[in-house]
Amino acid sequence: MMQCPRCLNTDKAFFYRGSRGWYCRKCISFGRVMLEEENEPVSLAPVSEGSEEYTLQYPLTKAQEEIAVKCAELIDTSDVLLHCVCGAGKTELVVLSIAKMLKEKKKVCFAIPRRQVVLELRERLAGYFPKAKVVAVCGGHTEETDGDLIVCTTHQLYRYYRVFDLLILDEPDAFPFRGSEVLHGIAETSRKGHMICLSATPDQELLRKEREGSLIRLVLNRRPHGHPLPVPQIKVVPDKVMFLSLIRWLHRHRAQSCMVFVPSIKKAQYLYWFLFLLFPCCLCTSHTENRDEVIRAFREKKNGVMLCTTVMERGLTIENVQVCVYQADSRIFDEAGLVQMAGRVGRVFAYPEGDVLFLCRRRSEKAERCVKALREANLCAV
Amino acid sequence: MRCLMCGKNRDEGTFRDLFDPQDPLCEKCRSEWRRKHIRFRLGGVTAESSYVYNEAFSRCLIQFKELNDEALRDVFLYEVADRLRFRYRGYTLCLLPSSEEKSAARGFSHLRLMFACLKMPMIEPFRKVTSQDQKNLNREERLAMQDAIILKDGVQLPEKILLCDDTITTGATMLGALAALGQKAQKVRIYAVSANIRWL
Ligand SMILES: [Zn+2]
Ligand SMILES: [Zn+2]
Repeated sequence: MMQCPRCLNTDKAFFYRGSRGWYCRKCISFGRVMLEEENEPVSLAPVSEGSEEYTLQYPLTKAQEEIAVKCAELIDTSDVLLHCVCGAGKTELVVLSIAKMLKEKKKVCFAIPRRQVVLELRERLAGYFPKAKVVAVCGGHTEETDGDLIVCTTHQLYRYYRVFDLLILDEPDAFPFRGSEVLHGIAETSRKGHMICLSATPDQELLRKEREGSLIRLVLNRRPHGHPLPVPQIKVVPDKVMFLSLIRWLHRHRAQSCMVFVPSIKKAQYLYWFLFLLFPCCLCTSHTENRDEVIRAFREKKNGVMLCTTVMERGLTIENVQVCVYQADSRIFDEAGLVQMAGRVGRVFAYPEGDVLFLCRRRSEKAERCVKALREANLCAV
Repeated sequence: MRCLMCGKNRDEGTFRDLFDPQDPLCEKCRSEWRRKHIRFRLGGVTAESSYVYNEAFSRCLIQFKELNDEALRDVFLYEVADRLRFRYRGYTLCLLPSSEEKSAARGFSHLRLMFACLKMPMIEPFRKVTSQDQKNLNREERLAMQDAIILKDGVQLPEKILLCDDTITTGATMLGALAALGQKAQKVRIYAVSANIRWL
């Protein structure tokens, strides 16, 4: 049976015989891989001396510490899924595991589906590991691809055929990694050691692996500040009144930052035109070019309203923010996304609580499941 | 069969697939290409092209040329092959050269693959000027020669020549080829699969 050595595809329809032999078309956008030619593992520079030294900004809580130690033990023998609620500090949880690997002079990669997060995460990890050379590899940053610790998008993993002794996969349930067989295959073939998946909302695939025993799940249901997760309030209102409900809610939180998630860019723009008459508004979608700047201004203002689409559902931490999901029953949103959006609230020590509102046009099972999942997490945390 | 660009399985098929089942692209991918036969003059020669060079076309061309996806060889002329064969009966296809290093790395000549489906006589009489040719030139002359095209030594040119390329952007390469031909050819026409919007 033929199999692509890079994306692990076995579907014959994707193989083509060219002038130099068979190649795989499924992952062709990452460059051509010949099936019959020997594919050498990529070799990178050895890990430098002392790179394993680390300092954390805040000490881990007892619950975090416990998980971090267990995880560092398990990665020698098994893949690990760290199932943590949003804002549980999952990056900090793997620092111990990274340090352990670096001490053994092993290569570690931290891979994330979304490009925007890569640079920010590199800064954070570089702060934790002051002596290590931490490189960020993503679109626009590909001059340097080797370091002691590599932070990259899941797209860039194609550069590292059979390299990593430990692959940390952050948010494997996020777009575009979720559902992409090619990216899954490439992640699989970039490592020769074990893998840690970090997720607040693991998908069926990961849970299936856990059932099969090829993956061990560690659960952390509490945020470092110990407060329960904010549970969304679901409000079913007819379409025509929804806008008024939104205004009322925004008015109630006029002294705080508010994020309003909207199903589509068009709708976000329409809402923006109305709302900017009433509130200090900004718009943040995948079409926004100066997104970083918009986010910074929003952060500094402390009482602004940000209208955003699903691109903003992950990875963003803003002080004292409240969240409303407009038309939360829309099929654009899925349960994982809703959990993530609700997870924007109460992430900071100074403001551990906040308000989450789901505005629906009709009863929505997804929204209800999301509320149930968050309630359960809160119950388990006690 | 799967569409060669989007990979979607087409077993279920659309209405068009019923009558036109060979198109390696699905209806959706094909509709993103903008088909438009245009004719224009270039260096005193009649030129023709079949598509407007747009995003979808360029994506496909890059996948073929830069990523070496040879499976796409018949995609480009699929719709217009019959028309070209009829229109240019008696002509010999003269493929424009690509840079030596690129085609060496590729391991195949992409234009040769692309035009093979026409089953017309085909020659590659040109080559790009190499640094070897520029040895005895001064700096200015060398700069002027940078992208120049010359005839290979000892080529026999047929009577009717159709200069072929994948796309015409500024026309500079075509003009270079025309200059290389000089007066040696009797009848010359130009065909490019796509043309930049400026030629419209
Ligand atoms: Zn492949
Ligand atoms: Zn298609």
